[in-house]
Amino acid sequence: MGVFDFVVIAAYLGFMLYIGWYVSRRMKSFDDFFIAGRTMTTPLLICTLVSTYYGIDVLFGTSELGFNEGIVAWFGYSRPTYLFFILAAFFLANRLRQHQHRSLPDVLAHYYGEKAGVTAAIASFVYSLPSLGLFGMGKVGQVIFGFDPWIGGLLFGGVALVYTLWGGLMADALTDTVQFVLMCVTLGIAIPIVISHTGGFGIVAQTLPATYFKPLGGVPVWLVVVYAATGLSILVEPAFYQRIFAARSSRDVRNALLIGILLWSAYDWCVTAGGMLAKVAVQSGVLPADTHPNEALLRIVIYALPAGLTGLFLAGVLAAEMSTIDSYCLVAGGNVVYDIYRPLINPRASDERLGRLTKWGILLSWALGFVLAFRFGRLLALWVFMSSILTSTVFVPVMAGLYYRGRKRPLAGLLSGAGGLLSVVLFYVLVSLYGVRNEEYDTYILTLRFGGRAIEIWQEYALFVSLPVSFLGFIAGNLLGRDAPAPPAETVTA
Amino acid sequence: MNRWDLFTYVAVGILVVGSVVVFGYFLRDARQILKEMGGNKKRPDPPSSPREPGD
Repeated sequence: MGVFDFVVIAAYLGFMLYIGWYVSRRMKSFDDFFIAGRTMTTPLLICTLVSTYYGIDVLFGTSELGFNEGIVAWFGYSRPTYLFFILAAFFLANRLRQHQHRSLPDVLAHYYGEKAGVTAAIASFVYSLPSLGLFGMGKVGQVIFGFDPWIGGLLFGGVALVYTLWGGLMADALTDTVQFVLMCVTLGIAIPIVISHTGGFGIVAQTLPATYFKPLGGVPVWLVVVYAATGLSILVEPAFYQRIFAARSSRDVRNALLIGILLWSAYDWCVTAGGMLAKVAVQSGVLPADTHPNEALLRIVIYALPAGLTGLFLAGVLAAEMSTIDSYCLVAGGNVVYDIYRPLINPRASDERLGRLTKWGILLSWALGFVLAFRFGRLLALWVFMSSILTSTVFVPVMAGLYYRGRKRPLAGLLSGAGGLLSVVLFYVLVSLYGVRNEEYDTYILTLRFGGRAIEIWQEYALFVSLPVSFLGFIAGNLLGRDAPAPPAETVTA
Repeated sequence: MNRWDLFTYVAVGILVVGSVVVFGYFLRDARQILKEMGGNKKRPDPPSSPREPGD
C-alpha cells in the first residue's frame, strides 16, 4: 500500500463524518432521527438495503465458502435468500405500512400489547448488537495496517458510531449511498483484474476438484436446507423493518427490493468467484500457502490492484462493514429507549427526550457490542445463534399478527415469543452439552440412535424445533388468554 | 472464454453499472429528501396516499 491509498482511506472516513454532521443540523424530531422522517425514496432504499445487509460477513464468509467449496456458496447459500426478499417485496411491506409503526417491537405491541412488544425488543436488541461488525473491523485493521484487532474496531467502528449519533437513520442512509457505490464499484473493478492475474475459470476448472462446480458441492443437503431456512429472519429483520417504515411508500420498498436482488446476486457471485480464484492463487504459489480462507479474497485483491485502487477497494471494505454497524447500533439503541424505556417507564416521554436517550442507547449498544466482539472466539456461530433467537421469538407472532384474521389475544403473543425464545436456548444448550464438536463446520452435532440408525442433530437445526414450539404457544395463548382491553382514547403524548 | 468467466463479467457489469445508475437517481432525489426531512413538507401516510393504488 502506498501513501495515496492511505489518503483515499482517510478522505473516505472524513467524508462519512461530514455527512453525519451535515444531517445533524436538519434533525427536528424523533421521527427525523429514527425513521428519517419517512422520506426514503427507491434509490436511497436500494443503497441502504444493499449496503446494510452486505458487510464483511458476506465479503469474508461467502468468499471463504467459495474458496473451500466452490459455487455452492452462490447456489446453495445466497440464492434462497432472494426468495424471501421477493416475498417481502410483494406481501410484507404494504401490510406493515398500514399503521404508523416505528420498529419491529411496535408491530407486536400493536397486535398483542406491551409485554409482547418488550419481549421482541429484548430479542431485537441482542440480535442487533454490532459485535460481528466490530470484530470484522478489527480484522480488516489487522490485515491492512497490522493493528491489534481492538484498535481497528475502536477506530473504524468509532467513526460509524459518531456519524450515527449525529444524524440517526438519515446519516446512516446517506453514508450508505457512498458506501454502496464504493463497495460495488471497487469489487467490480477488482474481480476482472484478479481473473487476468490468475488465468480465470479455465485454470480453476483444471486445478480444483469437480465438486467446486456442483451447485450443492460437497455440503450435506440438510445443512443447505437449514441455511436457506435462516432466510426466514429477513421477514422479521429489525433493520429491514425500520427501512420499510422510513420509506415514502410501500411501492418504493417493493421496487428497491426487486432492484436490490439483482445487485445482491451480482455481488454474491463476484465474491464467490473471487474466493475460487483466490484458491487457485494459493495453489499456484501467488498467495502464501498458509493464507486463511476468509482472508484470501482480500489478499488476492490487494495483490492484484495497483496503488490508489487498493486504497479505494479497502475503503469499500470498510464501507461494507460501517454500513452494517451504524444500522444495527441505531436499531439496538431504539430498542432500549423507544421499545423498552418508553412503554415501561415513561409512556409520556417527549420527542426530544426520546431522541436524546436513543443516542445513549446507541452508545450502550456499541459499547456492549465492542466488549463482546473480542471476547468470543466463535463469532459466526454466535451470530447464527442470535439470528435463531430473533426468528424463534418474533416470526410466528408477527406473521400471525399481520396475516391471521382471527382472534389474537395478548397471551398468544407472549407465549409464542417466550416459547420460541426458551426452546431455542434449551436446544442449543442440550446439543452443546451432549453433542460432539465438529471443527470442519464449526458447530456441535448430537447423534441419536434408533434401532441401529444414527440420526445427526446439528445445532443449526434449532429453528425446526423452536418455530413449532412458538406456533403451539400462539395457539395455547389464544385458547387460554383473555381478550385485550380496549385501547385508551388518547395515546399520543407530548 | 470460459462460460463461468462470461457469467462473472456479466455480474461485474450489473454491479458496476447498476450501482452507478442507482447512485445517479439518488443524487437527483437528495435535495428534496433533505428538505422534506427537515419538516418543510410532510407527506400523508402512504396507505391513504394516491401514490399507491396497488397497495
